[in-house]
Amino acid sequence: MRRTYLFPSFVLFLIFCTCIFFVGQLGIFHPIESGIQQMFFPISALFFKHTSEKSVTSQLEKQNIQLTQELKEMDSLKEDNKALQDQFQTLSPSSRTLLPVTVVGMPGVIPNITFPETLIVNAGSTEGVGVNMAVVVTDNLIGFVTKTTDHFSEVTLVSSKASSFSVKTATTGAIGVLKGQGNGQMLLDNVLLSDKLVVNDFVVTAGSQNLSGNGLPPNLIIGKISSIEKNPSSLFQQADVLSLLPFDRLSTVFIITH
Amino acid sequence: MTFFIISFLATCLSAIIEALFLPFPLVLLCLIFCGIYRKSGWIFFLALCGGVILDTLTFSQVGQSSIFFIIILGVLLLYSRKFETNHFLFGTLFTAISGFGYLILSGSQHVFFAFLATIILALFVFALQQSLLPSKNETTAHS
Repeated sequence: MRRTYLFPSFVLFLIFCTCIFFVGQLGIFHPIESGIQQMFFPISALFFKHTSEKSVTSQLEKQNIQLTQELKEMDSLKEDNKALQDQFQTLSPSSRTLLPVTVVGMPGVIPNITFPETLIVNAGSTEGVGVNMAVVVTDNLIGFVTKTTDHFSEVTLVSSKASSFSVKTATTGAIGVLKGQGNGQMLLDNVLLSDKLVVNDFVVTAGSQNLSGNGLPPNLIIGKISSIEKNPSSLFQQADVLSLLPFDRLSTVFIITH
Repeated sequence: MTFFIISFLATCLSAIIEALFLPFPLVLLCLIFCGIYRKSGWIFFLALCGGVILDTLTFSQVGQSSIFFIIILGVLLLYSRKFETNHFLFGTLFTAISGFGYLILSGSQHVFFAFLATIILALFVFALQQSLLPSKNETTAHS
């Protein structure tokens, strides 16, 4: 009877897949994974490039005007800082290298219905990309690299539920933790009641780089405070943070490499 | 042989679409369709290939989707005598339940929406299959 070979086939393939699962964790299949990704990611890159080109440019132009004003105020502060550095002979931070990459995929996204949690970009370990490297557009933080293969990397967005890192407000200097809520929403949490939060104030990274230089550099813009929740009976106050960029419309981003 | 090639291409295409464009369990639907239409051992090979492509393109651990697909197909094929597999409602229900389990295990963001879409797709596919393509068993289950 032919039916009798179904069970041995089932057991054989199940054992084989289990072996692939455990052996794959050693990284042996990276060349095969890279080959498959190089075959199919360029197809989705064409799709995302077509849908995202127009909206990003116009929104960036508007934000550029607004940020220029803030930069003028920052310039005067920089002059003071330089004078202090010269006096105390502090070492300057190492220069940052920006690697331009293209978004080739947004896993789990239905266009105009669901929001991305991660992006796939066309640069991997071969191009010098490593885990925990910051991904930016101009000086806006988009996310950070969480997985890499030879030629592609996965970027977790700052609005993802898996994202959580320390931040501060640009004007008042209040320190807190930015927690992604999914669907493009972010929450500034763990801010002391004694610290001041102002609506429309910019939220920037506090800096979380390690000795190797990996991690989030300081003063990268994450978004603006849209609303504040302050309850005197609570230990901390919270604020909703709106991103300045449409994460689901990005086509080209930059990875800060070291 | 022709059906094997068509099934292989359909599985690969489903994996690409599911990984890059639509987050619905299309590979699972394709495999269950092939398993109901042709109860044969090479379906497990399709499950292996589809799962590997899907895991590679979604940056998941290679093999995890294949294991799930093979177990589901094993339940379908090894217990096919106990089910009325030729009816389109069975295919729809089986796809819906296994698809829901896959969405939960894979950590999908919009489980309910994808689950509804899966049911609609499965209903359409299996109703079409029942009316246009009679099932060809390669076993001696029916005499």
